[in-house]
Amino acid sequence: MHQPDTPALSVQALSKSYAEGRNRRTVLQDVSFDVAAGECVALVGRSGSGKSTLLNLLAGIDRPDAGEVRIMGQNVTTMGEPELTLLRRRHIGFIYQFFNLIPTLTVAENLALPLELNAMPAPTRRARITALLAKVGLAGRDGAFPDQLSGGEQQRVAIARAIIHDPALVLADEPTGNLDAQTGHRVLELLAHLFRDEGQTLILVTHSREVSAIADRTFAVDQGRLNADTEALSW
Amino acid sequence: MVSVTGTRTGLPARAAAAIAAVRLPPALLRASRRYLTRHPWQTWLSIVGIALGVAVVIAVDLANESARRGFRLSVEQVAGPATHQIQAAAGGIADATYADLRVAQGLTLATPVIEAPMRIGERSLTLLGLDLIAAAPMRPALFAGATVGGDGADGTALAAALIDLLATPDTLLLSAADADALGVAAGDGVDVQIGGGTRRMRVAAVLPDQGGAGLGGLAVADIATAQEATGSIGAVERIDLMLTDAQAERVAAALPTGLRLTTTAQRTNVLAQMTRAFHTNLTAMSLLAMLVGGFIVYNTMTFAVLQRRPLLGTLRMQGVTRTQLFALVLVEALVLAAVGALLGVLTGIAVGAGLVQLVTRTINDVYFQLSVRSLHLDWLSLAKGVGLGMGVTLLAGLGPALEAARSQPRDVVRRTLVEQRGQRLLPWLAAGGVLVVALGVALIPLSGRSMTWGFVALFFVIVGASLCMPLVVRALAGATTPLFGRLFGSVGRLAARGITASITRSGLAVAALAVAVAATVGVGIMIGSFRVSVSDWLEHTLTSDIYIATDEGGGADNPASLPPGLADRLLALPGVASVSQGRSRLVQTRDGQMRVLALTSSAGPPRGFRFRGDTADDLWQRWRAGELALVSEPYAYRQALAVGDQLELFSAGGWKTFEIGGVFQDYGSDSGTVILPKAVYAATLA
Repeated sequence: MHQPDTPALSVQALSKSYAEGRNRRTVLQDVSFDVAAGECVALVGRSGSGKSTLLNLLAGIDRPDAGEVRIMGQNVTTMGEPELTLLRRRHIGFIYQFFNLIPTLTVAENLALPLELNAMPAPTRRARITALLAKVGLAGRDGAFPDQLSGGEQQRVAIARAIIHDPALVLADEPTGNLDAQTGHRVLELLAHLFRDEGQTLILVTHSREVSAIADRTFAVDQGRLNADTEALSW
Repeated sequence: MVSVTGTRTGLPARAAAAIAAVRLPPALLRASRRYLTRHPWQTWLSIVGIALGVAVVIAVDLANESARRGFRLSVEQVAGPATHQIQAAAGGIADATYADLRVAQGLTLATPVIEAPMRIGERSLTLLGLDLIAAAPMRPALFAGATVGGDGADGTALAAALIDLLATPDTLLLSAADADALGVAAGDGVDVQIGGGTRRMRVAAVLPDQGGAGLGGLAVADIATAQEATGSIGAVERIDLMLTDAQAERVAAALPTGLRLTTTAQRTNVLAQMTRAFHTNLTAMSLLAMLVGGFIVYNTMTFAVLQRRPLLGTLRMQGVTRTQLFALVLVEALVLAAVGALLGVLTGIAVGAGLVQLVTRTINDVYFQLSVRSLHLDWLSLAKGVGLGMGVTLLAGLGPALEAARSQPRDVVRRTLVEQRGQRLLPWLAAGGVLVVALGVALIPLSGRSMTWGFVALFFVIVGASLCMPLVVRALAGATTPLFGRLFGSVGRLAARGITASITRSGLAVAALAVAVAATVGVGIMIGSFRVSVSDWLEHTLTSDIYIATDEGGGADNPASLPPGLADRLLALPGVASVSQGRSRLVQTRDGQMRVLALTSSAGPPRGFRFRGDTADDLWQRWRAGELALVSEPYAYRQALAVGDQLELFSAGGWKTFEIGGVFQDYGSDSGTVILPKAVYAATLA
């Protein structure tokens, strides 16, 4: 699927607006950028700037009004729902602000689900889960349920879940937004370490300067436009 | 995995792909199972809803089937292998007629029969009097293995039993079940209440039960014993025969006036038809319980899906397909259905055991003598109940499954859009509901006298009204929000708006409650109205101060009489203004049996009649002259008869035709009653 010189993510002239009563509010205007494989890009901006909308468009959750998104050379914006589902299953990992672990599954089972969906054999699954839990510092917690974990531990599990099936692209929406400063810092360190180690492409959405510091590049989303110069952005 | 392996088994690629599309990862199934166990109240509410529906359907079906089976066995016991029966219009068939049939017609497979209700202690039985020698070749199994008591003769058990019954008056055969229940053995004496009196009889033999076709409920005696016990010496009630079609034609043509040849099947069918409506009614009520159960399941499952909306969005984000989510919810429905059905079967059998006694008692009180000692476990009834429960649950689960399949990945982050789609659908749902109600209302007059179509029409009305309910609830909640706000402040406003905000759930809950309450209220009103109507009818009909009747005896076809001259002696008493006399018995019509009531009064026309619609001109004058008959409303309705129509009654002189002069209100008999003047009855039917 992936050509060596093809960007892992390519966004061209993306625009999106929403209806608000009789009016339309433009959220994104003519956004374009490329992300190379293995790169970490942060999208920063104030609340309501459109950065989460951009992330949803990248994941195929929303459809743009104009423009296209290509993941590993495939045009996501023209895909039907079944193809998008398979794309998300195989090639995308998502980290949420509020973790969104499945509450009735244990830590190991939460990690197992993406692997089962990708038909990975059971012995291989078990080995991968054990190894990854050790990497995120949760060795021995595989039988715990999410409500038995702290916020930081839940986010670690969520990060592990997002990368366990070795996706080409990982999207993180405010990954430390629901954590206290100290815990958020630790999770951020883990995220930075993991993505370098696993070689995935990471797109981070955040309003935190500290979070964006781990990125190779940072774009500011301001009034629907993308700006590489983040200095002018008021944090 | 909930799957079947694909390509390795050599399935076509499309089939393999289709199967792969609904493969549910074990983690997904585990998550689902734990959701159900972690929400026990919700889960058990669904299970109980299904279980109750299945239990009621099974209980009613088992009770109905047990009653029908009891009826079939009873007919088989009494009629045996007889294909035809000769019946008299009135007064029984003379012995000489039977003798003539055997000799002149050369019919060897024929036996005279007397059938009469009797009691031994608290146990009700039917006395079956037969010409035992003639009946033996027709019923060889009846006497197989008889246990002989007393001075039993040598030879086979069959011969010994026959000799004892033939030679000794007041002897009878009992089944092993009845003998055990009464605590008697062969050779013991018993006091038998029959024909208004008590006779001392001896149990000559006890017959072993022959599976389901034994003698339970019957006491077999020689015809002479039966004639003496019932006070009908010289006559028999009917003659049972085994005839070919050609023989039947010959016999029918040769019968004297006043005797009639019918097939056993005809007679059985007429009796079965009498209770068909009763069974249909019970079944319809049980299906209503299943419908309410289905509503409960739909509501709880929809709630479960909506409660997990963000989770379902997460799953979609992870690559779980719509088809897999659809299948997951249906699997949940299937599990709930299986548990509910199992509980329903066990509960249904227990309830059915009690219900069968009530059903039997009702049939005995209203229609005919029926003895059902125990519940018959019919596997088909159980399978039907389970199948219906599973089917209704899966149907109820379809909506929530479709809702789950519509989950979008953005539902993870967008928590406020849950109800929007449902709110948009409400007007369409209501429009559909109005159409369905209209269809139901249109069907009601078209259903005519068909109870089944009537219930179908009502079903449409119920479903249609349920579809309209969410819109009505939303409108009412919206309209009453200010009122609740004024009465209860913010809490009141919150409550009212909460209903509107979650209308897809609250509307359905209201619909389910409305159906249940409507059914309860409707049945209650029907029963209450019926009671009032019966009470009113009794008050109108029972206009005399004192009623005198004989003890039950002699059989429905020819009940015992009061002493002659009693009416005149009563009229002579001081304070007695008038005396009315009546005699009732069963009479044959072209469509079965009905009751004829012959009336005479010492003062003017009979009183206490409330007529439906117009009556014939000069009604009472013409009635007394024998030109007109009065028929009861139930009979007129079933046979679609009205004033001016003809009614044929089988009499000693053949078929007699009467013009219907009036249709009167009657709650005393479902089979129908015809009123004739006593003089006309005596001349034509007595």
